[in-house]
Amino acid sequence: MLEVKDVTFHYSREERNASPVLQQINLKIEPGETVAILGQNGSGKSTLAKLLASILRPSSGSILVDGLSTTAHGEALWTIRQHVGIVFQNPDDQLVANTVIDDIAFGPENLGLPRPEIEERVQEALALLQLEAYAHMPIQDLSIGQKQRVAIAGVLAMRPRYLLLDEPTTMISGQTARHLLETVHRLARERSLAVVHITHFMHEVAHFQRAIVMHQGRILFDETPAQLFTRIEELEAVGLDVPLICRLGQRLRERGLTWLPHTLLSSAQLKAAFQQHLAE
Amino acid sequence: MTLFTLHNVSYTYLEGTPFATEALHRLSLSIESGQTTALVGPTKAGKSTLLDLLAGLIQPGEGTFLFEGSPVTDIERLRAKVGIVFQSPEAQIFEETVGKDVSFGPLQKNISVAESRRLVQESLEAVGLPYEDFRTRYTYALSGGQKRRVAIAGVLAMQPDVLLFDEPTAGLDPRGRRELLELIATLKHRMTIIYASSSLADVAELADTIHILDQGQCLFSGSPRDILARAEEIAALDIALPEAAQIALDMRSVFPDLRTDVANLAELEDVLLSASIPDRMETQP
Amino acid sequence: MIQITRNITFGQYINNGSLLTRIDPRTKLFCFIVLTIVVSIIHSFLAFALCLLLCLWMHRLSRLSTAYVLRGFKPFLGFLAFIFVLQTLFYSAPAQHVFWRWGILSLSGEGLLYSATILVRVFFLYYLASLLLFVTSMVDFTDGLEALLSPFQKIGLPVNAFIMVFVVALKFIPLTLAEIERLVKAQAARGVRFDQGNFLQRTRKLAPLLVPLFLNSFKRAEALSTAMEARCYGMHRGWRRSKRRQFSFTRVEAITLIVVCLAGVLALVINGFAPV
Repeated sequence: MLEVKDVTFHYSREERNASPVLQQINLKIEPGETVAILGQNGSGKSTLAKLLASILRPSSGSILVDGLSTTAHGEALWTIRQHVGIVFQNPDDQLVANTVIDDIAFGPENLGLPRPEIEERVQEALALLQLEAYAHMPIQDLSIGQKQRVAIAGVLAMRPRYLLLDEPTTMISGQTARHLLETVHRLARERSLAVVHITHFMHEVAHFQRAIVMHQGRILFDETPAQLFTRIEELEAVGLDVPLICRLGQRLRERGLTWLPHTLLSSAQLKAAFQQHLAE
Repeated sequence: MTLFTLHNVSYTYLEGTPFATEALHRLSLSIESGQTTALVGPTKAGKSTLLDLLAGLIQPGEGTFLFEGSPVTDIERLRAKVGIVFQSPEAQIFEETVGKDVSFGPLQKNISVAESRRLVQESLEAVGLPYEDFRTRYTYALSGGQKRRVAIAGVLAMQPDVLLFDEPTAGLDPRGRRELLELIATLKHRMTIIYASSSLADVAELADTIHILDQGQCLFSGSPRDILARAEEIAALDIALPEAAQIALDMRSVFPDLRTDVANLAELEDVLLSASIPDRMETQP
Repeated sequence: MIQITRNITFGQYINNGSLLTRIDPRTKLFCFIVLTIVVSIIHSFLAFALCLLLCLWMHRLSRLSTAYVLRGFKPFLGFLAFIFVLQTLFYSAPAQHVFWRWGILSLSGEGLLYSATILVRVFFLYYLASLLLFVTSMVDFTDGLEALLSPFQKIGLPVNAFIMVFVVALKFIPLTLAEIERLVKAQAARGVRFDQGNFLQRTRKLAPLLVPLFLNSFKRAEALSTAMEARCYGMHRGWRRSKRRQFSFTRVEAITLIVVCLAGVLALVINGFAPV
């Protein structure tokens, strides 16, 4: 379990007088949960991700990864870093090696694993992200979407229990972004991986079990997407848009299609509702 | 007046080396002045290369490129009339203070200090950063959104007739994106705007004409409505659709003839209602 | 505007499937070192001729276009001619066949011979280095270098860390070049004319690029090092990396080593016995 207890965070000593980046955050994430963390730029969501990944240390309070504190040193810190994997926005800022297979092997190599096990993990990661055909390609020849998949594969090769994604679709658009998220959900199911997805795009949130909204360093809401999407004005007040599909559902119900579900999360749901209604 | 005409323009990077890549392949399109034109295509479609060409930063390898009806003989004239805001322009700020950075362009043209101060003031006001407040602020202490506005002000200070934007909303959150699009909307009546994007969502309301690009070519063009009607083709190109059109496209699996040229929620509602209750005669949007 | 990599033919890996591209990189590196040492020692033209034969044979095996390889020399020719003239004129060792003298400058047979030897050496060194880089991918190069230097790692020198720095630096080169190109374009769009002015003025125009370039590079470096640490890279007590890559040493590598070493020894022997 990832546990955040009363965490407050300032970036530097001078800023202690200004309002902190994160204030009194309390959070628990169980193994296998899929959680989306939403917020405007500056809401503190990326900072929270870095704290969870033990890249940053809390100014006060503590963060426990399966019981180990992120302020640990040496072996304990290494265990935490193995259990918590993090993928950032820009793949060029996380990929180290020349070819795909060498980069995926980077993590296992750092763990000092024996060669056969490295090979096994690399092949496994390639298969999970459907990158087998690209194994020996130079990374610079790949598209950004493919590079992000390599970044995720590289993290999965370390067999983490928790996967943090810090705005991974910022530089990708359209179908590629959608496919990436579908892949992430599939991995969460297949590997019982807990996924924490940081984003400011509401439309990415529908399939997550939990949606957390952050604003000015605090957690405002922590509930299911269905519950969250009813808070239209509250979300607009913190700079987030409710997906159009929700408002569409509301409007269609108001105009007579009362058989539609109360909160629509995705167009797939809308399709299913229509198909069911037409069959009757 | 036709501002730019391109006919069978091709451009190759690193030509003559084993690493040559063709960015534009026999591209043909024309852009009118006084309008807002959008260039939409997936990554590697050639949008940035095309913008570089229009801004006079590169020259076509092959084909004809006309500016205001004639070939470009004086590149400086083209560069003076066309301003370009690159992707993530805050990465190109190099002066310490906002005032110094915005005045860089005018000072390059040897304008008087007084005149340049006036231009800086106007430009900062135009992007919503009050002059007296921001003039002496340090650039590195600004937020990402503010830096982006400073970069835009720096281009406006050069008083271009045409303003090019390369994915200006990249990396911004929903509020930031809305504010930037509002800013661009205020500039529309003063100058010709050309906007490159990989998403149709930004430009569907803003643009008068949209050109769809892919792999260095212009596939088709039209008004936003014409383009949205072809949502299926566009989604296949990996271009993000506006939410309403995307939902309409998704719903085609239930209503195969559903219109996808819906510009907003109200139109989407109407379209879905009339499809689901065919005997009720709804007026088409 | 600036397509910086356009005219550089030195050091680009060309994967044409030739025998040389498939040989184990440790062997290639070792042969390169051996030949470099040999070429730097010998002065007999007969010995150089033997080396030339060896180079011609390797070139054939590489299946590279001669014209393309030699194109890399063009930027150097002027410089080499300059060096040749200087070395000849300033040759100060006692000489028997002096044609002309003026103060410290002289034109002698020995001087010409000496300068010619230097030129030949430079030619060989350049050819060997560029051939190595043409037939060895960067991955192979760094892996091979790390393997060859591993004895030093065992005695405590941070070879692995150095290689990692090298690998990351290589990765950053195209990214930084692209960044420079972007910055130059941004400046040109703001009215800076890079093609005007004398050399000093043009260089000064590049100064404003340095601030954002360095800032962005530092940001990148910080982001990358954070990502590397997140994947458990880092020095803590007793930390050792393992390697996925395995090297093979087959008959081909053995034959290559033997041939090169024999040729080297032969060249040294000829050099010892031959008069010129």
